[in-house]
Amino acid sequence: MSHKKARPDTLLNMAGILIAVAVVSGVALAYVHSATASICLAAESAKKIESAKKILPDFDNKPSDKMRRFLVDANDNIKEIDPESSLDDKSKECLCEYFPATKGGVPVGAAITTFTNKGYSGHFVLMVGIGADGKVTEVSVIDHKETPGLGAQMVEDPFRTQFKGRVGGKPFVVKQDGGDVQAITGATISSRAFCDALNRAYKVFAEASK
Amino acid sequence: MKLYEFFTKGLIKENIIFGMVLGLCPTLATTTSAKNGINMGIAMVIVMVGSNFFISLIRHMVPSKVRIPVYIVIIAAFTTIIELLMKAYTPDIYAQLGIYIPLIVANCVPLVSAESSAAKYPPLPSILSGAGTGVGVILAFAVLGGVRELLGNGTLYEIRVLPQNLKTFMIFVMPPGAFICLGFLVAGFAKVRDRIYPKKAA
Repeated sequence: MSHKKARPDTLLNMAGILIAVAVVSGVALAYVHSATASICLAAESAKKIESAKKILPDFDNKPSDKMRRFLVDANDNIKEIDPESSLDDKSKECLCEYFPATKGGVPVGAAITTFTNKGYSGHFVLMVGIGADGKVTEVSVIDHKETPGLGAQMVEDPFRTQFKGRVGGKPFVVKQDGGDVQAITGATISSRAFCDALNRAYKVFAEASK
Repeated sequence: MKLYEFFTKGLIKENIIFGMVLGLCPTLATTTSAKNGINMGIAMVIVMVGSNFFISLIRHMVPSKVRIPVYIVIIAAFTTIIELLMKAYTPDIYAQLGIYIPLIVANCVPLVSAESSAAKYPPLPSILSGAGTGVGVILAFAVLGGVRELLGNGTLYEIRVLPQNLKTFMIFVMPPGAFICLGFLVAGFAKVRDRIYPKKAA
């Protein structure tokens, strides 16, 4: 090892270099974070609007104009909040957004962002399109951390598309638990969580339609 | 050692995944498909090139007792920067690999690269060495990911190779399949490497 040129191990040297490296790294991180934060946010909301377009039946309003927000706690108690209010990270974790769609003034359904905390890697977020007749028009995965190749298959056919046209009156349950949802092979936990998120969307849908 | 050798030794001779069998956590976790493996490898190359450069620059200033914490802080900073950039500019890749990116810090590949080259050599060879090790990682991940994707899903780089109705081995996409594939590939790799670089009598 050519550490012969290295500085001696005095306390001052050691503390000094650690502090210097930590400070420089911290500043660099803060800079990159602030530079990318707005891009991340824009990408996220663009993705939501894009998803809403894909999963809703034909509509001609701007769903984001009449967006409503609901907080759903661990016991599924639903509380509506001001759509403009700013949220801390904890409330963002239990937020459901409701985007109503109309065509010629007649309601045709809604896109709802919903979440679950029961995924294999915890929290993930879906967007569900629900028609005026209560049928699922389409589901799209907004953000997830499930295992690539396993739980992550929920993004693809045929798992996700099996919900299309189903009525969410009674909860979605996977076959393993006595329901009729075909789970992803090797990813029952993710599939269960997916159903959990869908069921939550229907609760919000019912609450919003009151 | 000639300058280009800093790059080439990481490819096969001292391939850090198949040869040294280091950094197994991302190796096993992210190689469910060739594409995931390659993307992960690319992230690791960027981290290693960047961190090796800075570690090499300050190598004379760091007292040897605190060198590991210093290297880790630098590697962690680069990893987090890559994570933030991926989140902003390639959200699709981030959605697939997001949780594994922070693991680059905790696995030993960048640290070994820092300790074995950046701590001893000037910036240029250190960058080359980091890039070489990283390209070795990409090669290993691409091969392992490709084999697992082909056997487990019947596709290669998301292009269907095997007939749709052919039953594939789900296990190869799951963690046990990663171990099985890795075992065979490490054995095969050792054979190939010894052909190319015959062992000198020990």
